Amino acid sequence: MTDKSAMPTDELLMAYADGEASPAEAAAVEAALRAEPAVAERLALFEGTRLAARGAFGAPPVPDALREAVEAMVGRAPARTPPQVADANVVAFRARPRGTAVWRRPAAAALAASVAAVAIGFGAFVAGSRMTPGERAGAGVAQLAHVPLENALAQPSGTAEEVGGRGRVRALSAFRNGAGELCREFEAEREGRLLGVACRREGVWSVDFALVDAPRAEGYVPAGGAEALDSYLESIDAGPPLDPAEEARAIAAAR
Amino acid sequence: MGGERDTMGPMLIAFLPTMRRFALSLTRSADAADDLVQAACERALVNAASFSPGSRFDAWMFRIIRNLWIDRLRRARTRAAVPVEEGEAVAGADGAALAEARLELSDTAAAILRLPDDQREVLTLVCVEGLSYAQAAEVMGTPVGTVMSRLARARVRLAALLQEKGIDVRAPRSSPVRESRS
Repeated sequence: MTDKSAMPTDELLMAYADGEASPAEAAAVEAALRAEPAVAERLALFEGTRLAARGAFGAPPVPDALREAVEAMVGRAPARTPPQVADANVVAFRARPRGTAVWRRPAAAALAASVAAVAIGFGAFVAGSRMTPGERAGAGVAQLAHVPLENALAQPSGTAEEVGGRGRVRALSAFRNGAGELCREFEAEREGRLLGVACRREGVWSVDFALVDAPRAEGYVPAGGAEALDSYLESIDAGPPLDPAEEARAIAAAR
Repeated sequence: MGGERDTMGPMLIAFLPTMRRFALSLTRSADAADDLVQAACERALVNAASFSPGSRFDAWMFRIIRNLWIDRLRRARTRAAVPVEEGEAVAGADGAALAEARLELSDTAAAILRLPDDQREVLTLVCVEGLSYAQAAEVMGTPVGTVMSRLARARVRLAALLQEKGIDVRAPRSSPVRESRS
């Protein structure tokens, strides 16, 4: 900067102080700082106000009444529509595919934490027997692992395949996750409906995610399942669905 | 299906202190802030599905809190049938003084509460809550340029208000570095 009286605008100095200036803008500010001492003083105003404001309010304690009101609201939220409570359960069996370092998405991580705690309906779905929620939570994972998906998931998307006496499984799409594994989104039907994601690793289909609707006793169709699945797909960096030709090649290569 | 609600509940509780701090700055009243946060949590639970994973949860909540507060101001104005200047809280000029008396505030917090509504809001979002300019623009529904001009004005004003109390925010670097001129 040749003009020593040149003072960068307040917006520019502020952006520099806040780390929001582009490299070119930052270079201009630094040149001005070298050329004109008054620039440093003005810059200090923006640095100082940020510093002062950051700790100005501290973290005032949340009044008990507010905390209790929100806790009660959160606690009763699912119960507002009673048929929902046991209607749909989300199960993530595997938090992340190999090769993906972390769950980058906080909401997805929270989803994983929350799904671990829900009772799983798929045990009853597969076995067709009555179990307590606790039994189902354990048995669901184990039994889902034994669903014969091998043939069903080798079918082109849209094809339904009978799986023994256990209902039908329909592959819905094929895609690759962030780790490059071939994955299938599938639907299983028996008394209820299960929406799942299985990925091919070490020569077998591993079910990583399942969302279970209980039998539709009251004709209730859960509305939120798609979002839970979307969150999961986003968390594993799911690519776009493969077109039929790509899908056929990928499936053939995976066998 | 409870997926979003299951996720939303614990997040709301975890973010209560942050939400309340923002609401305090907007409303300048502890009671109004508590009401506002409670209403915002209800709205968040109802609209849980519209939160997109991967975006900042606090920014999403700030937007809900802000929009609710603006709705409330608008209703209060209509009821009062008295024209209120744009950018002026319904509580009026006494609002800041009242808040100062009721809350135990630092000098800086007291000065922030004396800023006009639009400046107070943007300063709280960026300097207190640590949002980027772009995130603040999204919360406020304004262009980034507006965020920057308001924020710069807010900080010049804040520095002047603190100066009145004998506080120089530039203290650490207040003496110009003469020797750098060559």
